[in-house]
Amino acid sequence: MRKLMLPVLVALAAVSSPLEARAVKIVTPLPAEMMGAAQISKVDVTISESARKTFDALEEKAAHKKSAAKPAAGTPDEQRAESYSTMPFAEMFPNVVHDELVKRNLTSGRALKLSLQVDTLKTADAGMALLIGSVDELAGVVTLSDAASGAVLGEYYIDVFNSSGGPLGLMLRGSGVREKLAAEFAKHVAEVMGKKGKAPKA
Amino acid sequence: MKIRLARPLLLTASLCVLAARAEARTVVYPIPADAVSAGSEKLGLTPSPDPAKGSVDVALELSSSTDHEAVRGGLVCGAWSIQNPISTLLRAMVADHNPGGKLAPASAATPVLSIKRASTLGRCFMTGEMQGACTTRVTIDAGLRLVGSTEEIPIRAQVEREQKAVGMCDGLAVGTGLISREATIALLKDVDARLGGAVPPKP
Repeated sequence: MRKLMLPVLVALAAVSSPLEARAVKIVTPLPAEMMGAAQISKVDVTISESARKTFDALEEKAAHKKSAAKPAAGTPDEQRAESYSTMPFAEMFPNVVHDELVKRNLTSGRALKLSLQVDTLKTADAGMALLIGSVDELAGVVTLSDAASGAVLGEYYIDVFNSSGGPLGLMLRGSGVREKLAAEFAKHVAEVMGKKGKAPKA
Repeated sequence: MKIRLARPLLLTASLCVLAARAEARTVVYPIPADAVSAGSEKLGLTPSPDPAKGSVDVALELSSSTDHEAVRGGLVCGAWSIQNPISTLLRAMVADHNPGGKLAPASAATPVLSIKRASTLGRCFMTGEMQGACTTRVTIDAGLRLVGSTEEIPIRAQVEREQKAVGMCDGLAVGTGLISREATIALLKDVDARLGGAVPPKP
């Protein structure tokens, strides 16, 4: 088996380019008239069995952070970011999506329900990251439906990576892996909903 | 490195390398009955029986968004391109479903099933050491115009099934065909329900 390891590692390195593949794949695009003219009023998250193990481990970590949390400090943004790291994913993800939509002023128009079916959630393997690089990954099917009628209006496959190559990559990766992946994922959710321009300054 | 870790790595690498060399595949329709049972057994799918005959002949309208390329998510088999000419399947199954045994010409006296678009989303995962599984979701969006009405009743048939990853990524086209068949059966059941029911099969 050891003899096989070299070709395996070479093969893995050779296929590293697909990691840069498109993050969003369109299954059914939102109707053009809804681009930049819709908001998310409800978010549902389901976890497939394939992602369950990592998901549960990260949920446990968040619960542990919550129990060990100190009184909030820092700016309101920092406090909010800190609170996300202690929330269960199903509570944190809608908040992250909401923040991203507010940033892009996508807060009015047709009310949509976002259903996320997570089918891949993995964190970088430290050993592999040192050898040939490894990735944190969050991927799943996003369905946008009319919040009132339930009619499906758009469907996408979104896959985000956060790569960690070598010791430096691991150091730069830092903590809050789950929140970083969710934030990157939310950016793509906002992108598929179209542009409305920047939010007015408060 | 332990063999335990090496095994999934080996399979993942093989799947990725094969996927990188993957050629475009096209799902073959219609699917004969023996191919439905053989393919389903190989891929671990449970096929539905052929739908009962409908009570009235239905005309079929197809849009340019009916035939499509499957969207593939994820890294494993991610480069495997599959064309799904599902209009061929729809024509064959709607014709078989009609009491007259053929597609009805569109007229004011015939209900019309208008296919707006169809899509296929496939993903493959590692489920354990040397084990993989692929999930395929086929969606058909259609509208049904009843006799004497110009309004369309929206119908959506969506079927998602998990299949075994047999022969690396090789079973994906067959699986896509079988799951497209399931989605078409679901669509026809919905049509029957709105048209007053199917003819019960003869004992």
